[in-house]
Formats: sequence, C-alpha cells, structure tokens
Amino acid sequence: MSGATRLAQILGVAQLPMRTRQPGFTYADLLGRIAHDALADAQLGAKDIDGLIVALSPTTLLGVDDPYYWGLAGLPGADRFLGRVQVAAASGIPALRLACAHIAARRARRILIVSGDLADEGSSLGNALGQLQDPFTDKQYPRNAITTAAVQMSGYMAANRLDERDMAHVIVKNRGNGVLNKYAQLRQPVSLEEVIASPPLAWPVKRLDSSPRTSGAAAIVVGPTDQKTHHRPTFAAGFGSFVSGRNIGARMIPKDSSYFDGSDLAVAGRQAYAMAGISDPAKDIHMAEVYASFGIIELISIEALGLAGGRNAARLLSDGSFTNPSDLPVNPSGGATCGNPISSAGLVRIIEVVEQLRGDGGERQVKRSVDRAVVSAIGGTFQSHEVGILES
Amino acid sequence: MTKFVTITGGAARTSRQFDDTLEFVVHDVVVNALKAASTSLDAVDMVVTVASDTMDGVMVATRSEIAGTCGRGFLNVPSSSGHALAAAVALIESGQAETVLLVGWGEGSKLREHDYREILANPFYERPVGGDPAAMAGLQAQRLKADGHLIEGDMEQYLREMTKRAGHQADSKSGPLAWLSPQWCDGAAALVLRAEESESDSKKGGVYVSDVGVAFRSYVPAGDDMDPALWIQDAFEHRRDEKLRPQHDPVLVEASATTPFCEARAVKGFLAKQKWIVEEACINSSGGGAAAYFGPATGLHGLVVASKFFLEGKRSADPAFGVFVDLAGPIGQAATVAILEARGARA
Repeated sequence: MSGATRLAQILGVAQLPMRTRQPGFTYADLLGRIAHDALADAQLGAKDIDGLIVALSPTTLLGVDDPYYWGLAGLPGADRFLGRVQVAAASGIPALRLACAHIAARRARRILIVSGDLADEGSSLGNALGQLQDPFTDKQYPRNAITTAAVQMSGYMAANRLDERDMAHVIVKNRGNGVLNKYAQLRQPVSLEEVIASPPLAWPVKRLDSSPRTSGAAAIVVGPTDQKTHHRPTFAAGFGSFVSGRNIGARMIPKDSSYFDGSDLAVAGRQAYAMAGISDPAKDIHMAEVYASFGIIELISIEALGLAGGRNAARLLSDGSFTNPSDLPVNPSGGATCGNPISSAGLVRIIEVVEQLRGDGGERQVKRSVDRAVVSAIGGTFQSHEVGILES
Repeated sequence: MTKFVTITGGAARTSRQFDDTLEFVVHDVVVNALKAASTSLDAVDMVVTVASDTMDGVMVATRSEIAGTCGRGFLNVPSSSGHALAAAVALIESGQAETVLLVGWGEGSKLREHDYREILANPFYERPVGGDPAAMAGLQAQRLKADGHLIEGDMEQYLREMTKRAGHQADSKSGPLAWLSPQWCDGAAALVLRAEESESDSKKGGVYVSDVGVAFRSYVPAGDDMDPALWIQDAFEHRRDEKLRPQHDPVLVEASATTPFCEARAVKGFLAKQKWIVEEACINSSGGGAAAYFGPATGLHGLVVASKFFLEGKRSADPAFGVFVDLAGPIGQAATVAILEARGARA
C-alpha cells in the first residue's frame, strides 16, 4: 500500500566500490564516472536530464573549496545546476528531498544527484573534521567525532546497564553484512572478542566501533512518479528534517537527553512517517539503512526511528534482531561501519534501499520481502537529522 | 496541488566590516525579517541557508543555529542565493514546507585582507597556470571588452554609483581597476517565504515569486562563452513557464554578481535582449551585489530590497513586476533569474 504522497521515483542508482584511496580518480573523474553509471542504470541519456544537484559535505577533506565549479563540467544536467546541498554527512537525504521538491513542483523532470569523496587528500581526517568545531568553545577541550561518540556511548551504556560486549554486537552484525557487499570497503568479519580487544580511541569507543576513512562516489537519478522504468519502481514517499543544533555544552544539562536518546532524530522520523502514511514503523517498515559512523549511533537511530518497539536496541541485537534473516534488517549493506564516504553516505543508504526494494541486492539481498524502507542520516554531531521513506 | 510562494518580509545588513560579530548580525536580520513579515519563528517550519564553507567554514554550523534552524527542518544550499531561493520555492510549491526562513551571510571583510579564493580553482589544470578567480575575471573582462560590451570608464562610474547606493565608502584598498574585483564586505540577509493556496492570494498578501530559472557554466566556460548576459538569458529560458513573459516592463531589477563589471554587463545585456525599459534609478537601488559583496549569499540582500519595494508600496489592481538576477561563482557562472510580481508598487 502506498503512502499518502509519492513525491518522485528513483530511476537509476550507482555507487563506486568504497576504498581508502581512489588513486585513479580526480574529483571531477569521480563525478563523471558515477554520473555515467547512474544514467546507464536508469537507461537514460544525458539529454534526458534537466537538473543537477551535488551533495557535498564540508570540503576540508578534499583540500579544495566549492569544487563543483570545475567538477560538474560536462555532467548531464550541469547547464541547469540546481545547487549544492551541504548538511555535513546527512547531505544525500536532503539532496533527494530537494530533487523531489523540484520534480513535484514541475520545475524539473529528471534530476541527477551526484556526490564524491576523496578522503585521502589530507594527512589527518580527524584534524580536517576538527576544523568544523567552534574555535571559541569546542577547541578548549578535545571535542571531535570520536570523543563525542564516546560520550554518547558511555551515557547509553550507563542508562541501559550495558557493557562493552553488549555494545559490540552491532559491529559484528555490520561487518558480517559487509562481507556480502561488493561495494563495501571492509569485507572481513569480526568477532565480539576482536571488537572488544581492538585499541581504544576514546573509551568506550574502540577502533572497530568506528567507521574507516573512505573515498567513494554515489549518484541517483530521480524522476516523476509516472515515468516507466525497466526496474521495479521505487518511490520517495516521505521526508523528515529536524535540527537540534545545540552545541554539546548546551546539551549537558539534566533536562536535555536528546543527545543520548535520539529524540531529535525521532522528531524527523515522525515527520517522515506521517508524510508516508506510516503509523507503526516496527511493523510497516521492512528494512532500514541508517547512517552510523559509530556503532552507538546505529543503536540510538534504531530506537529513535521506532524500529525497536520501545525496547533496547543493543539487547535486541544480541538476541539476533536486525540481522539479515530477521523481520527488520538494519544496514544489510554493512553500513558506514564497512565504508564511510562522508558526502556520499546519505546517497549510499538510499541506493542500498533501492537495490533491496528492486530485489537486486545479490548475495546481501534481505531474506524477507521488502516494500518499504527507511533511511536516516545525521549531520554534524547530532545536529541535523534527516529521514526518508522509500517504497515500491 | 501546487502551492504558490510569496515573500512576506525581509531584512538585511551590510558593512565594510561589522563592529558586532557576525552571529549577532545574523540574529538581528532574522528577528527583523520575521517582524517585517508580521510573523514569528514559531510559524517557520523550514530554514534554508546560504552558508558557504569558503566564507565561513568552521562557523557554518554555529551560525545556522543562530539563524533559527534549531527545532525546524533545515536545508543548506551554499552555492548561491538563487539556488537557495529556487530550493525554498520548490519546497513550498511541492508542499514540503509552509513557511520558509531563507537566510544567508558572509564575512567577506577577511577576503579584503587576503583573497584566498585560489582554492576554488581546479588544482590539476587551473591552479598550476595561475587560473585563480582573479585571473578568470580578468579574462572575462578582456573578452567582454573585445566584444564591445565593456567600456572601462563606464565600469568605474557604475562602481562609484553602486557603492554610493549601497551606503558604503569606497574601499580604500581598491585601485582604478576596482570594478574587476569583488568589493568585499560583511553582510547578512533574511527573508520569509510563505505558501498560499492560490495565485490571487499570493499576489495580494506579499510578493509572489512567479517563476525561477537557473543556468550554469563551468569554471572555464567553453570557447568564447564568457558573456553573463547570455547566461542570464539561458536561466530565463530555463524557467518552468519559459514562454510566459511579464505583462509589463519590470519596475525594478535587483542583480548581484561577484564583480561589478559582470553585474553591469549582465543587467544591460539581459534588459536589451528582453527589450525591457527600466528606469536607471530602479536598477540595483540596493547598490547591487558586487559593490558590497559578501559571498554567495549577497543576492539575498537585493531580494530583500526588491521585496521591500513591493511590500511597502501602494497596492493597486495592476500587477507590477520585478526581476531578481543572481550570478554566483568566480565569474558569475551560476546564474539565476526570478520574476517577482505584486499588485501595484511605487513608480
């Protein structure tokens, strides 16, 4: 059964296998290659595209700025470039939302969304990302993505009386899923013991709890809902967006637990579910791809999106929930745990869902039938929360 | 059902260099824009920002919060004011938002000290040969001059007049060729856009955004394609209702480009192509963008001024049209045209 409104259709998708380095590509090469692949998947030509959007998180990692001025040259739809969307790691989902808006408003008919990352251009990913912190407050203490996740993880463990072993199941699940994903960067399984024994980055976050440094690219072609396609049709049915945006200092007060319980992401989730006509996500959603650069973010996201039925995600995972043969697989791609090209992270989530909805997941195809899925991504450190509902 | 979009209020501030930190200025324009629109932040369900990494980098997230994103939906479109306006319009028309706060800002004064925009150039092909934005602007000016579209004396005069209209002193660091370069300043602007159920409702209550079109050229446009007037013409033809023309000549034009000469040429060439006659005083009464440039958000300043012209003027049954032009990027290659319509305005 369709949602209340279908905004647009996903006509074509493409992603590059994720690697630490992509030595054969410049930024422009990445975009050109991925645009070509997405159009081929959609069985469309360049002249069929009348809009182009680039999803691009802060370009500090690339060592250049606003590279779309030279990177988009010659791409399909470039003559009608509709803009860059920059909501940090969440960029892909609002980019899709924007494309759907232009199409639903009849301002474009078929839009290509591209993204690419070359994360190896600088010597330190951590230092590059650290440029995004407020220099007056955040830099007084070592707040970065890792320490932020560590605060969340330790808070979550304390609130739910969990230990490090309980928290490691999500990584084991994802790494196991990554083995079957030909696009994943990390394709070796890990055991609980290996996760717990991996070097601590900032306790309780271990190396294996966190995503790798990844270069990659992704693209999707979006079109009207009535476009005929050779794939099983997949549609964007709902979106939610919510910014909490309070710097961490303002969050560390007793009444504000959103940083630990994902209640801000839950708001975005409710918006998306309402738009798609979903009242019980634990039943109506058949799979999920949630952006989680650290395992703790996946746990919080599962609960915030209503997929755990009010129960604790870590405990459910340890009992086998959210795995591929379960009723509601989460991150069958392996998630960002197995590869995290930051600008492309949101699009990669969308692409995984589309391929699953089409039945094109190959070895990693989820065992249950999938008609409706949720994708989510968080920009910054729990600042922007983006959710999308896709269905076939 | 497609909704219709009106601008109901706006506010902007520019200065060669603000005494306040930019966060306070952003907050100030947002408060004043909401006041001008007779609404409050509670009524806003989506905030669209033009927050450029190049200009503000590390401060983008913090300033977005101060701009009012907290508790609302959010979309950051840092590529240009025109793209952000088109995004806000599409979000409202498609029913994904009801009331959008469109905010942009930029701390351009630091680029007056050191223009570091060579980081915009392709590091493999352009930077090694010195193809930074300043060089590209010079090439563009040379081409326009060779084609008879640029007279240096006219450009000097244009910049003087625009600087005066912007209410700024001439930049003491500028030389006789100042019209070749952005005249950097600090700035912030905010507008409130609202959904209306019908076109007639949208024209009564505010400034109706009747259409938007975009066009784009790469950093190094092909061959001799350097004329921004043609880029604006392309954007005009890329509108949803490309054949629809305003019933009368526009009563105002607000255009923003990165450099004064690009802006001057774009407006003159485009108006000539359309055979529109607009009083000179009504072209960039704000001072335009290039004389007070604070990055890709600069165009929002002109949009605020255009909106105020319509909102504060007398209303009559006759429609009045305005044209908003935005050219962002090193040589203005990200082009946007929007047609504004209101019932009646001051002559």
